[in-house]
Amino acid sequence: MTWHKGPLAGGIAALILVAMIGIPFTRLFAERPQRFGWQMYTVAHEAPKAWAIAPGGKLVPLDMVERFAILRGDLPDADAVALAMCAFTDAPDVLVELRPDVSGGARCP
Amino acid sequence: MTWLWDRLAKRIDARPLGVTRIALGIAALLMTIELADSVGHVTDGAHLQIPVIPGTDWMRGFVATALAAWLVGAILFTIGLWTRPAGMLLVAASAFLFLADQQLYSNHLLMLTAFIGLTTLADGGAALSVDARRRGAHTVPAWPVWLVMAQLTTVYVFSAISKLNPSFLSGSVLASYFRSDGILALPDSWRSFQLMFVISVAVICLELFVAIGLWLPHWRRNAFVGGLALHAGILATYEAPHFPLLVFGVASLAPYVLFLNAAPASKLVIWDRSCDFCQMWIRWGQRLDWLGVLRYAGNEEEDVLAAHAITREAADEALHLVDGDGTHVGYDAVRRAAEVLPLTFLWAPLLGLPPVRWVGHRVYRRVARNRKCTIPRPEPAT
Repeated sequence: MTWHKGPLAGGIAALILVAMIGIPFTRLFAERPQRFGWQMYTVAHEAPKAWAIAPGGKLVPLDMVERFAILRGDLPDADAVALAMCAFTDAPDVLVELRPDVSGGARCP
Repeated sequence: MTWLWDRLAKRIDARPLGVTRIALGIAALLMTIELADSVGHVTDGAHLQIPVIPGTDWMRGFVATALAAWLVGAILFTIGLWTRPAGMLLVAASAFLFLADQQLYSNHLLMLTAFIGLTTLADGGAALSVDARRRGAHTVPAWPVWLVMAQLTTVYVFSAISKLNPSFLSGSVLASYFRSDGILALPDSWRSFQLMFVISVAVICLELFVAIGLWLPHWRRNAFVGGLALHAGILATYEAPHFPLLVFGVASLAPYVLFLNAAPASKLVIWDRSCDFCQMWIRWGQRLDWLGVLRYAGNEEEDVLAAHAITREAADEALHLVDGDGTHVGYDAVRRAAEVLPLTFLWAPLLGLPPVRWVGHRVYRRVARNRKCTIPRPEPAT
């Protein structure tokens, strides 16, 4: 077992090191907090908000905070969260604002 | 580059990695409790279910299985039985949980998984494990161990850099996380911009200091204390649920022992063999010396005393510890020994702070004077 000495080991080590530094480095250039960036406790955000869109186009606030299994500040996909909120409303459409820069919506199936 | 790779390609003692593996295993066991709560919420139907990849809702049906696999892996990894498969099982279970629901991601779990993966790659079961008992302990390649250390540094560095933003520097983040109830609560009147700003900058500096200091022999002891203070401080002062912070602390501190400059048998302890009180402490020292750093000689071993210019009278009077830095006597010898034991090395440098040291010297002298020596004093070896 000499794999740990040869060029293969060097390649594996270099690859891991590049990922270890490169992934969090790229995350520094987006709004915080980002996943895979070791950005724990870096910003404080307000609680996320959600609205049901009534047939007439009226926005009806939904209580979303209590619906989270784990309320995380770094959820990346607002559309997926909006779609998940459909399970808790009869409205045909849902809008979600996770953070000021992360919002999305879904048409409920 | 060749010089660097020559250093990283060599094989090193596996015991520090074994200690890290056990600590990571304990963190993984504790993490099971945290994960059980999260998994329960994700699957109870009363909370949001947010798949990472659309159309993979079926994965939610297996998160309890993944959690069970995590628990089995954590037990095996801790005791070091089938360590490599156990480590791979933990990484696979963690990856499955990450992919099952967006809410199951956590930086703490990701960090723990990264440490476990790298420790597995480094053959973390090579020492202090059931595997090592069955197959015999052996050395491990240095480069994967170095990667575990680099991973810890990366976490601290990016954690510090990402805090360089107006929200954190304004102090509002810490002000919102600090406890508002209990004996460690921060009074509202103290949550001023000035104080919160100073604490915020101090936290960033501390993280950077630990990240760099761990690699520098001169600053390493301070970095150990700094890291311990950082994690103990988070646990003591943050209002956030404390159990996850405890798990985070254990996982973060687990690789610190890899930075310990503690070559096997590199420190010589000379002690009074006629003293049963000393014998009890030496026995404890041997039990806790998992890295095998300390070797022992009795005060009757004249050749050993002569080799280190220690008189028999001095050796009868107090414990001596000889290492690369010189000869340490009495309380200082105890302190130096504590700095290489896995259970004490993080906080032992505090024993060298002036007030603690003064008290320590006094207590040591008093105990040494009043100790009972009922064991017949051995004659000098001839």
